Amino acid sequence: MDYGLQISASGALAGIYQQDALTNNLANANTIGFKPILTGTMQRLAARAEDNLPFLPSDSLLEKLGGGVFSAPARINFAQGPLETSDNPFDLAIQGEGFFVVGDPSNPSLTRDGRFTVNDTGELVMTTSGTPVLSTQGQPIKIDLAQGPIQIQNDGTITQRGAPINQIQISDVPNRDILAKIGSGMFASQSGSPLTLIAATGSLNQYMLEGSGVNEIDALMQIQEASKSAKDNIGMIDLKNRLMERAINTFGRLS
Amino acid sequence: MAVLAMQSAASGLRALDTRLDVIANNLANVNTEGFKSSRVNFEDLLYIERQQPGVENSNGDQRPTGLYVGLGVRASGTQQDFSQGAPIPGTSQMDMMIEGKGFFKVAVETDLGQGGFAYTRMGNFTLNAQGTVVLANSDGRVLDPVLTVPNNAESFTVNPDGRVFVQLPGQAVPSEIGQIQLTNFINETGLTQVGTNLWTESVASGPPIEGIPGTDNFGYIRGGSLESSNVDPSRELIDLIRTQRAFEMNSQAIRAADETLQSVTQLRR
Repeated sequence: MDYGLQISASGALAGIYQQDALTNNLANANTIGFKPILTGTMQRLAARAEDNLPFLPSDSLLEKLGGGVFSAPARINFAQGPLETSDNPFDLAIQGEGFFVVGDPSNPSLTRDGRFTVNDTGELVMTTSGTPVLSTQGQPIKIDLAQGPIQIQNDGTITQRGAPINQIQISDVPNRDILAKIGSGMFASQSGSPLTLIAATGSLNQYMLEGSGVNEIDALMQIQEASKSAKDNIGMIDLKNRLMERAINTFGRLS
Repeated sequence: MAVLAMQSAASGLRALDTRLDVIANNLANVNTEGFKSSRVNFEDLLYIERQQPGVENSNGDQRPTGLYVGLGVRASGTQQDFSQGAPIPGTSQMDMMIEGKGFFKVAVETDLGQGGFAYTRMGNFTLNAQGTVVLANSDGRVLDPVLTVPNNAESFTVNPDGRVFVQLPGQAVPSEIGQIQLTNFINETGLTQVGTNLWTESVASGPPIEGIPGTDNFGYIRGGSLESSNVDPSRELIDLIRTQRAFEMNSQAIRAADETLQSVTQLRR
């Protein structure tokens, strides 16, 4: 009879997980280049169906009930964020598809966070983590600021006094579902193996930044919805608990 | 558990609190000559992997993606905006501003700045008792290279290339007393802010590069003007509103997590 207890527990756990993941989205509502996690749930099959076992005739009614709910695997919403203007020449935003390629040249990560700066050795790096930004050749980009002001064109070509000096790489992956967040606005493959990069169609904008993809109002509503769902499921657990208590005390009483 | 949600929302509150501090400082310096505005950079923290991708289910299919929970946000650093401020007419002949890149170099105590020097964009110079050109603030920092104005000088003029002329009585042609040099850095956003409009060299900024105004990448000097603060009050106020609302939303998220936890704790009667 406590079959439903497990179902409610799965609902409560899924709700709490969703709340965790969605609160992270809200906390990053002001993080440049942040892409929100899409949470979801999926139906869990009845336990015997999950184990590929035949249903028993004795308990056919309860056994055919579903097994509750699972949190669906996390997916990332890569929709374009709003573009904000800025005064820094190394603030870049990608409009359309594609990512900046950063990090280790042999196993690079991707990011949409275009807050770059030049470090003390003259390399173009991410401001937040100091990770080097890679060129179309897959190598860190050296910039000598003494040679004049920097202009960056839509295809990522960096020019100084009209002469091209290097080109920032913008690439994409064939299937974005393999990407996992690794913090600091970066994405890497979930397996840790190097990503296969393909050409991207997006264009680069200098003096622009891509805002967070989180809509604060949606995020807050989703959190409250997840909280409500967790609370409702916990309420059901409580109800069943009381029902059992009643049953035990009623039927179990020795007259 | 919902405890993670509380931590994430609390990290949001902490980061937003830092941003509020920086916005308030920008707004307080909206009329400070030579001031450069700062912004707070946010970055997301690590992610916890709840379920590994690629695990097989009972059918032998591999799960295509994993289940991740983020741990919130942090303010990773402040970044200064070194864009040009607008020129405002100065009240003294010795007021100067830099049009373009570069800093004036002034002598400071060796424990304050590397090699005993600090750098500024504030050009409100004046003379001290010895006739040396110094910054007209409470500390009277001496400009480097040192310029000494003869005590009988009648006027003071600075050329765009930094050469300083004074008019001496009884002479038809102004005499040159020296040339102001400017200093640049590979990564000026890496300079350390030490207050009183001064920056000092840091490991992140790279070593100072000195040069003549108007050459290479150095800006020109405009005499008789000061560079106004580059804080844009309308942008700061909009950021202030956004920060305040985001703060409220994160505190709501804490309340939602608290309510969830409360109903869990009330399960056992």
